[in-house]
Amino acid sequence: MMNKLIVGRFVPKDSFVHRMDARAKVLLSIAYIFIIFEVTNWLGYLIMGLFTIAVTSLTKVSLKTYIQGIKPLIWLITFTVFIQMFFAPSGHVLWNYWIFKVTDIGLLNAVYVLVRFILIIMMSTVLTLTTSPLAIADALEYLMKPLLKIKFPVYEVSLMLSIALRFVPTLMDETERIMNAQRARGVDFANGGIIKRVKALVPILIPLFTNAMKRAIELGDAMEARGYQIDKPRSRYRILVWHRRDTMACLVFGLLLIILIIIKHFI
Amino acid sequence: MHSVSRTRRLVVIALLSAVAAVLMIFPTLPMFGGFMKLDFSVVIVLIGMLIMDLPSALVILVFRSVIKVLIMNSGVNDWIGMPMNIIAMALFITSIWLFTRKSPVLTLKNYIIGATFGTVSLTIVMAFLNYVYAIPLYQKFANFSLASVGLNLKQWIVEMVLPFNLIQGIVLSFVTALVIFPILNYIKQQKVQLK
Repeated sequence: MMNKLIVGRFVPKDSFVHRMDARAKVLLSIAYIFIIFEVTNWLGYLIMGLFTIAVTSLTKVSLKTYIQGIKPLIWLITFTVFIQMFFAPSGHVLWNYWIFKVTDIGLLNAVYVLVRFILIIMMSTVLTLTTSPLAIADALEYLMKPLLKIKFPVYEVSLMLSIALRFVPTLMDETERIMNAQRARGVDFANGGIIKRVKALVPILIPLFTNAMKRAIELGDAMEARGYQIDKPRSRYRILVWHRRDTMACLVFGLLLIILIIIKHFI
Repeated sequence: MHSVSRTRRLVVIALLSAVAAVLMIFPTLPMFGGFMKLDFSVVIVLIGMLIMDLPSALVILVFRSVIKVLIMNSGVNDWIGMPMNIIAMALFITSIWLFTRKSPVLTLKNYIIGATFGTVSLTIVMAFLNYVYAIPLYQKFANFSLASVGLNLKQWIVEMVLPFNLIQGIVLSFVTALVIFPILNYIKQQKVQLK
């Protein structure tokens, strides 16, 4: 199940969004969060919603996958919407019981917050579903390049990130396996008091750590043996290319922002 | 420093960050009825501090957060919570480092002093950050105010934020001690390998 969780995030497909440059996708998903705060009325949310649905359908990934992305946050969303609905400070009272008060403004705010939540989650899911973690790491390397001027070790950082990302699935499997091994010996991770449960974690953490150390030292030596040297320029295997479609996507985003600003100030 | 061990250190930092990132996702300990979650990634960061040094540990701390966001982005929660978590945990680790760096061997006494100091500073900083940063930001995002729920900010911090972080500090110190002390010799060996 854990394996699915990590591999399942990135869905390799051939779509417009998949083919986009990782740099463009990273930049635009950050921009999206700022843009959504420009939205203050229903028309804005409608346009933003239609836009987001259009983008998700462009990814050719099924809607079900997106809904799964919302699931882990269902608690937070319900809580927030609940507060919005029942504890609105002002507005025309529609329903009243004890300390609960549903007002028209409260109801409207609840809907807005719900929509905003879902839109932001959907958009950040678009990034993780269509871009492999390694491509995101590459994109971050490019975007960090200006930092080379202040002697920030951009190449080392991105190398470390790539190595770490490469090993996350392996280590997840390993954690699963160690936990299962402990379960087979009768350890119960899900029940008992806090001290008992904390103690049960020690036999997971120690093998996980020692295995990681062993792997790291071996990998480090292997890299050395193949001639890796810090501070020396390296060639690269994966090359990011900025296409016309990336420029187009940025232009569409700009257009969206202009429309939303017009709506905010003139309607 | 010899270049072999520089490469080794680089890879060790990368792999420990990966382990810590995995530990942010599972296994975790739900608290307050699942409303808050405790993860054990800091244990690995602390071991990293013991086999290397404080700067490496802080790098691991930042990396594990970046990696977690890259593989399991939970949106707004991460944007608001992650920077806070990094600051609080950096403080926790630095406190332990301050009290344990002098003696060549890690002693239980120094560790307990460091961990206590770390827990207290973690709790204070978290309360402060919640007050000036997280709650105002969350209110702005979700467009609600705590006051309208009949809670005030101080009450929320005293009843939720303070106890959670106090327990978090104590539990983390406890687990780390349980992990570190039995393998002190192993840690010493690894330290030699990375020199």
